[in-house]
Amino acid sequence: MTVTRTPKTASPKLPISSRPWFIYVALAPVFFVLIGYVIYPLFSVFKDSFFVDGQFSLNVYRRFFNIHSMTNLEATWNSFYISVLSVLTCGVVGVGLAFLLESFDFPGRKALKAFAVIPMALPSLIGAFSFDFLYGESGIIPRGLRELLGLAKVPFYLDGIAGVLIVHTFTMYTYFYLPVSAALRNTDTSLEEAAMSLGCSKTQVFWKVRLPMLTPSIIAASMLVFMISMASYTAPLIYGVDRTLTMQIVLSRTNGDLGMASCQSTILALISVLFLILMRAYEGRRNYASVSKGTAYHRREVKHPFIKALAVIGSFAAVLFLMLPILTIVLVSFSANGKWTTQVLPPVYTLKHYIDLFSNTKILLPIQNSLIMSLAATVGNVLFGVIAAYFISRRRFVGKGVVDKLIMLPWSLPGTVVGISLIAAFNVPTVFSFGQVWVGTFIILPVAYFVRHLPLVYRSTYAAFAQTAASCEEAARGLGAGWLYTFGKIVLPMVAGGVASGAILGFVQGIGEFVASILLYTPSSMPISVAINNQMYSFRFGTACAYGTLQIVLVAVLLLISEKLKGDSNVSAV
Amino acid sequence: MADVIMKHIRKSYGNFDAVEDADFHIHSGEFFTLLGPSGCGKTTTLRMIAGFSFPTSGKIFFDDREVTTLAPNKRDIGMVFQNYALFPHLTIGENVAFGLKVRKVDKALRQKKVAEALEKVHLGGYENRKVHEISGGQQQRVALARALVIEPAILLLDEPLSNLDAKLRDDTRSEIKRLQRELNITTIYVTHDQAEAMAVSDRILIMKSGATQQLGAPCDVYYRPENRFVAEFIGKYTVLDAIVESVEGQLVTIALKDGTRLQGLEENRAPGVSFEKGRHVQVALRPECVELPQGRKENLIEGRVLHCEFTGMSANYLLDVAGQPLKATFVNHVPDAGAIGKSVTVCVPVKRMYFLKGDEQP
Repeated sequence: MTVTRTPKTASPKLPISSRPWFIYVALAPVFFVLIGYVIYPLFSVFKDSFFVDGQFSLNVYRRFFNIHSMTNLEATWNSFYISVLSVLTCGVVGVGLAFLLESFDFPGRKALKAFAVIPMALPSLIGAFSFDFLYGESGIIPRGLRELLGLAKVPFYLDGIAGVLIVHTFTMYTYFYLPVSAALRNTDTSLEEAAMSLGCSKTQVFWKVRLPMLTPSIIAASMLVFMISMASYTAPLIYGVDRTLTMQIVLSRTNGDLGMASCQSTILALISVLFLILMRAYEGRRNYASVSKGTAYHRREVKHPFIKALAVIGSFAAVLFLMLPILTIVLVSFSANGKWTTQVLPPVYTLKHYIDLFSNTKILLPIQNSLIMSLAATVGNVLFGVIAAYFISRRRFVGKGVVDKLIMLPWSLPGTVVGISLIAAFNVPTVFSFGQVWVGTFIILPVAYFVRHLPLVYRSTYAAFAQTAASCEEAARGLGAGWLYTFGKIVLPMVAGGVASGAILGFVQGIGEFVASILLYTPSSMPISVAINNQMYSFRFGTACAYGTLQIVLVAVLLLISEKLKGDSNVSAV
Repeated sequence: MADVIMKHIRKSYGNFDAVEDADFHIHSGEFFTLLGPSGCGKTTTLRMIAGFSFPTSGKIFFDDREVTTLAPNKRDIGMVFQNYALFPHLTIGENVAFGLKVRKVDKALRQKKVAEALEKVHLGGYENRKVHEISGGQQQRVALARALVIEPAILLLDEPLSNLDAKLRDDTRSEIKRLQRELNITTIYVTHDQAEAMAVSDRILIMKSGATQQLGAPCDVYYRPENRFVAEFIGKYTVLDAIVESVEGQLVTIALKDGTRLQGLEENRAPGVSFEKGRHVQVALRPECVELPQGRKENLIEGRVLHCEFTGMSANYLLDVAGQPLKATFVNHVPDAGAIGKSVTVCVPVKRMYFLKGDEQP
């Protein structure tokens, strides 16, 4: 018998969805979007930093690294050490809280546990402002203490780098708290029992078994907090810490020095991408915790009456501290504009701001804008996220790793860099902007939101695909269903929960977005966060906080829905 | 019902051949099993028959229709997956009805057929349950009903029992066999469990590292393995190296390494074994072919007891014979507690001796 080999030309007989080029055609829209709105803008920034008036020049970099005028180097150094300190403070608070809540049973534990995730519902800008209202030089707490103690000056207040650090800690400790407490909950106690049976003491078990098992989540959280701190813009803005990279980028842009803004963005982007690479390299080693389901972990009950009483007071104080920012925003939202001057608390209250919110078209516009722009970006995210996640999770093809990394790239990019890169790319007509100049138009904001939140939606969708069996799809095909029918009736319904939860996360981010918006908005496309910022600077605290309250309510409700949709599936916290 | 004809099928991933030259003909109505250890290419072969992946070269026919690169939904197959692959968002009834709906069977008939199919797998009335509300064994049967309700030409089963516990496995196994007989459907079954394969199959194809090792009825592969792999995998044979001394008529005399002379029948040999004097061969013995001498004087083997265990029905010994292991199973025998380390004499009846090709360099 002779071996009959199918010649290469026989491949066109394969079903279309199995032909080698099919995947690239199917992913073409994703490629277009990634190249047009991620790669090309980044390339434009990179190019702008090397070309002055069309001439290649290293001038901008010389200015950046000029040791006689240290502004930029100082800003880089500040960004760096604020980030390192933020990692430390967030780590201590987050890991400590996780241990406290997962290892001990004490009165007030449940309340504290429920409120521990509150900071996640606080959009960054309004969160930072609330801290200023509470602990700033003219803040409620310092003034209150001054009145109470009859002092001439406020006894303390938050300002400068210390203020930035406190805000960072408050808003970012959850990045440690959530994974570490999950890891603690999933710890197989039989491992600790095994260690004890082998002769380890309780302390040895802690240092040799428990802590090493937590290291992966702690290291991953550290890198995450470092990246977010490097990218932080609102906290330095509110505490007037001008010498950070993000602040310098916006200042350069405001002063019209786009070359310098590009150079600063390039350097910040490089640092961020470096951390993304480090994180992804580390991610593979991330979970020992859920390898086996052992006996559940037992919390130790606190029995001593004195410690019990202390725990009640401590928990109450902690819950109050966690709730204060939101309570403050709500309180101030009822205060009349321009009446709160030197008093501890706003003296005059009104419902006007809420009525304005829904009746005054000028006040309403930013809300409409934010909803429309976030919705548009989210629709795009879902569309492209689902296509990309489906093929990347289900197919093998050359270039898969590259596409995956490209989609995740914007996640590591500071909003400031995304903003500057879109300006650099679309202040001239391009193919990707369909021959239009986008800077100064409405469309560039949803594009920015789309780029920033694509990784979030993609990740969550990818996780949903990864959790559902590929064999269900094959089963449907085997039963006679075509590819499209299978995709619509089997694949999509199975991942719908994960996709919806990711979409909501993306939408929520859009509602709170400030950093890229402040660089790109126009009066007609002003989103809520920028409106809050502008109202604050015009001392219309009431109006600003009414916006803020609306934002918080929207975010909290949507996050709850998203949690519900996600069910108990463990989509990693992005 | 259809014949499945595989013509020189090869499937490679880069330089790695997952399946090399699979070439066989499955007859209409036959229960055909692909058997081998994990990674042997059996599932890859099944998936090519299903159309979930396509051969690098070669052709597949269902009767005289070529299906080599046909999409799975056009093949008229029913497949049961290892993890059952029930659609979690649909009810049991909707799962079973899925294939009928795709085929645009009208609603009344669809409901009737679904009810019948569920009845057949003893799950009548389960239509409105959710997938996660029923047990693994029941899910398994739903998957079977879903595959059978469309009356496919070919039924494909990918390790359908491996997620069930031992008791349920036996029940479901006979259930599958009963349904297959009743419907007389061409069935291709993938498993790594040789006992399972022996129990249900008309014929078994044994694979290893992508290559076909032997194709035959259960008794063929059990009694007449074609190579050492099949012998060890199917019959738990142990193998002793030997050299051919002489052939007289039907009777072959060989010598083991320690000089022990044994006799066997010429016909009991794998293909390719030649009995020229001085040739290396291997004596392959199933544990139950090794007996206690009970007065017999011919074909005795001396060995040292390395290990023995009592299972109730039998006693299993592991002997060291001239530096090579030999397994022996004695029924209705209680081992002596002090046997380990001692030397024993066992006997292999002449007609139980089986010869495999020897390694030419021992």
